[in-house]
Amino acid sequence: MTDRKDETKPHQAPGRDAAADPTPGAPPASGTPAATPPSPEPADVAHKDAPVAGEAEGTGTKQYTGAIENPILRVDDLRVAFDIRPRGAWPWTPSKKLHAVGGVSFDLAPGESLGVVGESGSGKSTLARAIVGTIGSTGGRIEFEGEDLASMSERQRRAHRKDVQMVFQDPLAALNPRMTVGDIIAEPLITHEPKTPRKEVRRRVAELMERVGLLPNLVNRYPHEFSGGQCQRIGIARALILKPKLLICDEPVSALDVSVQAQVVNLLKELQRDMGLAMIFIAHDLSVVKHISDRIVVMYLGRVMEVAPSKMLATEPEHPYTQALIASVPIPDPVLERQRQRPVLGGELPSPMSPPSGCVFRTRCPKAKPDCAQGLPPMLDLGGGHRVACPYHEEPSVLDAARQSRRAG
Amino acid sequence: MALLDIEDLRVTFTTGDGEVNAVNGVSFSVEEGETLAIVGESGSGKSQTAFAAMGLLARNGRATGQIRYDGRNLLDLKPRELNRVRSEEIGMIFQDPMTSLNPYMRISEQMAEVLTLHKGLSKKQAIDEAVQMLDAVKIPDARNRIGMFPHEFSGGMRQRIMIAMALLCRPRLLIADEPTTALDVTVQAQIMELMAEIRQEFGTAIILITHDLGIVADTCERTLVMYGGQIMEKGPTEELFERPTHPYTLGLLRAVPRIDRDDETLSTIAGEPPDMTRLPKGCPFTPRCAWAHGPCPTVRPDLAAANGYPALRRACHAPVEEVK
Repeated sequence: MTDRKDETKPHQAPGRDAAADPTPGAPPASGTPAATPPSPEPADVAHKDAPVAGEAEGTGTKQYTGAIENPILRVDDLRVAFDIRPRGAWPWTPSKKLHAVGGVSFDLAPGESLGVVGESGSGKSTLARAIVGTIGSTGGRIEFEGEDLASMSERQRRAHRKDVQMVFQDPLAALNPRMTVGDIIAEPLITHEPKTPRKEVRRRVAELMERVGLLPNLVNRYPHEFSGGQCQRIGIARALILKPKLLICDEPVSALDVSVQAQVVNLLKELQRDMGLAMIFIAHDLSVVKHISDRIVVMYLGRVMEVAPSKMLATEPEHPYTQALIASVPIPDPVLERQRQRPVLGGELPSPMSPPSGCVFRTRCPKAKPDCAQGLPPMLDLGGGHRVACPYHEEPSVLDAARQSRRAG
Repeated sequence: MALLDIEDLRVTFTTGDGEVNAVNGVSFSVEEGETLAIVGESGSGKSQTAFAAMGLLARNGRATGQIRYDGRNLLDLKPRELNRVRSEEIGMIFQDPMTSLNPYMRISEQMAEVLTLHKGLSKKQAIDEAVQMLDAVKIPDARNRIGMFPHEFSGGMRQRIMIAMALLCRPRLLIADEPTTALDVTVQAQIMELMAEIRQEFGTAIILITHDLGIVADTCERTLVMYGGQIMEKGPTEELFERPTHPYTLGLLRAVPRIDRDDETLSTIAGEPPDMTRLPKGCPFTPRCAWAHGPCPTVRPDLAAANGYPALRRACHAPVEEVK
């Protein structure tokens, strides 16, 4: 019973403090008491969560308790770094670290759906993989039902894999072309519960196929005989056959056509509600994410910029990045669209190999000040589950004008 | 006279599974300086229409009909003549800039090549002009970066380079095939703004091929909706979006999740996109259409004006008043 992840353990205890305090050199502007770095209960700051999980509100004040009591998943200052060998480097030159995820914290309540948005390179997929356990973390903790992922034994880890399932972006690439649909959907069940009688397996596969909108008589067909939308349904059925508690969808509809995309989004939403699944929905398309999530995390260059209930985020974004992101999403309505002033965000995502100091967004931020380069911005709690990592969020910006004109229209 | 006039274009591919009719009798025209959007899902034939116009069909593809550019039918031109038109008159931007730029050539060489070949400029003049064009598409520090290779630029920058290259010979028509699909939204917004500026500055007519109804709304004057290789509906963008008269356009517009709305469930178009080897004889949308009735599966509807919507043309058997 060896624990492969043992080496990461020492990070956790000290990592915790450094983590919950995301403000080593916070600009003095942060007047909110919740944002003061050396808070005695830093976890409270980091884990103020949405009212969606509100039933659990207000009980217990242990160190790790946020607004969510008994979260199914608690991610606490998660860090994932990759070793990158610079091109043309000598064999003995040390590799550089690429920090794909740099200190992300959130809680997820059972049955809640959490959206993660960000542009490519924001670390959203890496976050998903770390939660599933396919890549190791280099710092922080991931707790699934109170169990630390890094210190799990092999046996526990196997159970964890059963409880957390994933749906991928490219539906056809995620399915083995040489297996029939029935075998693909049954495979996780046969692997994890090998004693299930064949008849039972067949019954469950047929049941699930019907549930996701596939005709059960297609069970002997191969993936290439299906369209993209149907393949994604197969992928969803496969993810659900083990009755997981948490479903992670990594860009599940980005490869699909609009008309089919709507079908799959509705299906996922329905399944999530009916089966009481907790879900993490990752996508770059904010309008899709908003539609399916209770709460949204906005990421940029491996860091959380803003967390808020989805309606609040779409109507009253506070972080300049979120504001720019929303302003960039085109609306299919010519009249509205021409009224919108769209201040385009300049520049592109900086290289994650050498992220900007301080606030990672400052190089493209319309509100950036010299302070912003100094230290990580504090995560401010605005109440109602709305948290924003920008001390200047209250200052008006060019983007506010655009928002106003949109609200009017 | 229209700048580009396409009449009854048909594109057929011969494959192992039989004939695939990618485009079935498409007719439309583009005026000088106009922006036209061709919207459709994958397999609707929107890209093949453009490829046929540019003579870029795959080897097993055949195009029939008329593609008149400035009075000449592009389908009849010899390769040499077509090359002239392609380089000097019509520019094209593709979806993935990395696969359309030559990875082994410096940007300076790739861009200068176009000008030395077609305009007979000297290498130095050509590079000067290329730098100017890169400045026009807002590549910072173009003079120094023109000697770099494509992989040294980010996705958004590469797309800018593609646009600059397409504009080098000041074409009168620019065909952009999903120019922002591979880009992030913030970069997409930058590129779309750039396209609008270019249109203002150079007076180029633009055909924008896309599946994204959002970017169409902002940039294009007229829109053409395709499905199963046929035009379902066309008209001024504002009218088409405001009051679509075709069941497919209506379904498509409703299926898009919108950031400015709170719909509980998205409305969907039932069923799957059509199998292009086995299209119904009539309207290709019949199997997914809620208004399908008698003639739909067998009789192909004409693209005709609808009562009360003078600017729109729709191909549908269902009466306009019922489709809503």
